[in-house]
Amino acid sequence: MEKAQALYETLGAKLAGTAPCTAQEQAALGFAARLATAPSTLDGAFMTEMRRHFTDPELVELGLITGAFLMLGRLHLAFGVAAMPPATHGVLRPPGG
Amino acid sequence: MCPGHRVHAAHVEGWSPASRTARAPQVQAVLHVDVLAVGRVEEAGRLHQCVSLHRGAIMAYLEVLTPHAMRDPDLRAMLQASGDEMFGVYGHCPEAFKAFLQFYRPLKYGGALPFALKELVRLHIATLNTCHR
Repeated sequence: MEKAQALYETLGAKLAGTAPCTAQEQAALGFAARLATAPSTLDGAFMTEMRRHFTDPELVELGLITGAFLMLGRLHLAFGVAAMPPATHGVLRPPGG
Repeated sequence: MCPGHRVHAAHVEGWSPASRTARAPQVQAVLHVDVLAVGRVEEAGRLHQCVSLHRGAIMAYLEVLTPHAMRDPDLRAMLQASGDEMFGVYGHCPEAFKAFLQFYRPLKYGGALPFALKELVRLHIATLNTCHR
């Protein structure tokens, strides 16, 4: 639990700009922002830059999970689903995952 | 919490997650303060009626199935273990939701990319969606 709390404190600081993001994290956040708000800007030049930080399989994985987050988040908003309790990770995490 | 989605109530026999129970006594006030605050006066009346029916935990737009009402045993166990009303909502369509989870779970918790990177993206998207989830 303390480990998880430390993780989310770190992530929160990175999103708030009070802790530095790695170049790969910055690229992933930029990809997510564009996919969420301006997908037409995901052009060849941008994806070439993304390939400096991720392999092609990693980009597919990043795209799939980012799309899933985007879809789920919007559905949760539409349906009014409450904030996720910490125990959800334990329920969803596959055995050994 | 998502804007306009602060209307939640829990009145479920034999099942009351702590987060819901804590808010239950304030349901009436929350309904009138938060719903009116976002200008959805007509919904205040509708939701008040839903709460009065005691059909289960009521959220902003859909009924949250209780473990007792959920027919799928896997989703019921997930709901009971986590207290996450997501399972009570998407449990209305258990086959499709379980198929989605088969895709989502290994993608989120496995794969080549670090879990922390994926969580960073998820939190960023939650901000973009103006929803804390």
